[in-house]
Amino acid sequence: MTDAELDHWLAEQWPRAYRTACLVLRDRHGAQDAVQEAFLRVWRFRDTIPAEAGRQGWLYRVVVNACVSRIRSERSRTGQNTSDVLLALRKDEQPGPEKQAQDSALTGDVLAALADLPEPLRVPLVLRFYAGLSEQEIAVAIERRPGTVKSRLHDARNRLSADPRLLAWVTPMEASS
Amino acid sequence: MTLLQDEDLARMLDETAETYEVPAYPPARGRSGTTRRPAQRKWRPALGVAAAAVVVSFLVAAVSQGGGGASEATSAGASSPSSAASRSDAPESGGAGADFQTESGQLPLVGAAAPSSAPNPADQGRVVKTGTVALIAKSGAVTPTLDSVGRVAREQGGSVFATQTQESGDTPSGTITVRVPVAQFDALVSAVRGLAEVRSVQTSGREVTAEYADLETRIASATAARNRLTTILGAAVSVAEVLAVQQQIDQTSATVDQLTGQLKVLKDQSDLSTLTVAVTETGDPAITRAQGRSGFGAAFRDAVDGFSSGLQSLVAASGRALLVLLCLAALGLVAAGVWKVGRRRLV
Repeated sequence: MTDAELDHWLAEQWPRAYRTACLVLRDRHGAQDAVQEAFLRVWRFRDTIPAEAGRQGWLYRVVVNACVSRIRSERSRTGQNTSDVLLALRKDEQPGPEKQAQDSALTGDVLAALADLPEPLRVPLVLRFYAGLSEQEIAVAIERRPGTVKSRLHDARNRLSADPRLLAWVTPMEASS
Repeated sequence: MTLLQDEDLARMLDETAETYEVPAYPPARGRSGTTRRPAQRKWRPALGVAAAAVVVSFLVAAVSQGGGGASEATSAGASSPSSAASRSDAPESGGAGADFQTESGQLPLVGAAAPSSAPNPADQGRVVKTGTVALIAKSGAVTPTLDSVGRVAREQGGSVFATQTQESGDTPSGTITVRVPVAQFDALVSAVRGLAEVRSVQTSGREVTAEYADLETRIASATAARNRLTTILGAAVSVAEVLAVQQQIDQTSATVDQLTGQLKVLKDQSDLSTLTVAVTETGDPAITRAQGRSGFGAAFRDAVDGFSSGLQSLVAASGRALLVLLCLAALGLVAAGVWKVGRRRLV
């Protein structure tokens, strides 16, 4: 992959990677810094980028690592656990009244539900259902076995399914089924 | 319990993610602040990479040569010896920078007003002075003498930097290090000499004016280069450019920090001279031995010392002598054995 091709590929990946980091961190500034750092790291180690098949998972592994590093550094700095940090970050992200009125209530419920999910469950969930990675790619991204990924996705789905805030947004037909 | 379906989860996350506005790619960033790529800029990776490579190469050369074209231009009017030296040592590379233009048509490297390299008049005649004075105080006067040294230093506009006292048996001693403005150093030494009997005095001075001015010039050049790199970073249009320029900024910043540290140390040393005064009592055995040896008593003590040291030398040498004797004996035995065997064969 030439430098120009790599730059083009990264430009394509940028929006989804950024929003993935936003969902993981729920802090747009932190997400931007994390993804920017991850992309620079990818560029710096471009010689080690795997072939086409594993490239996506490898990129998200770098992005996830940058996000996790950010969470941990924030946790060590503030002495809070991950959930507290994320909740604090989410508080910082609270928009003004006007923006709140415009935003969908669904967004708030989803973000609240994600905040309640522990990081080991939240990351695979976001990678699977937002970034669109396969279980194999997620396994590469979080450096775990595919079986572990499957198990975590199952746990995450169960937890979210038990969250009444999200059930309210499921279509009645699906809910009844 | 109703399980959320894949479609539900994907839709929820998609809608949530949509609320995050995606910033422009790539996000150019600078150390001193965040700068964003202008929206009207087009994607020109190949041209951008080439331009970044040229710019970075030139700036590396400029920085490594002590400021390059910009600093050369400004150092033309400098009168310090170091500036003249750096000017004469610099290769004729200004033309390369003069011919280069950025994409925006600016000439960042030519005409950039680097700070003047002429030394500040206040910095002229910088000298680092240090000294050591050994005093012999009267019995029980070590501490008062140390206090007097501190008082004299304060009278000269200085201060006490460190003190240390120790008592070995009945002979206390102490050391005090004081710092005074360089101009007051000689007066301080004179005043300290008058406080007690002087055992020894050592002073030294080192002219650092040229070194100081040279450091200032290099800092100014590196700072100007860093500022230009920061400007270039704001115009970077690809990750390759951001990475290349950021690395150069980091290196240049490290150079600036290092030079600034050296300048600070040199300024401190040349602003304030350092004098260390060691005070011992008259009764100190080391001093007593060194002082007033005369008469038959001294001669007798010298004789005893000589006898003792001679005896020690003999004892020390006996070990080697014994070893040599053992070796000779072994050789003699071997030789005797060989002689006997040879004799039997002959017989």
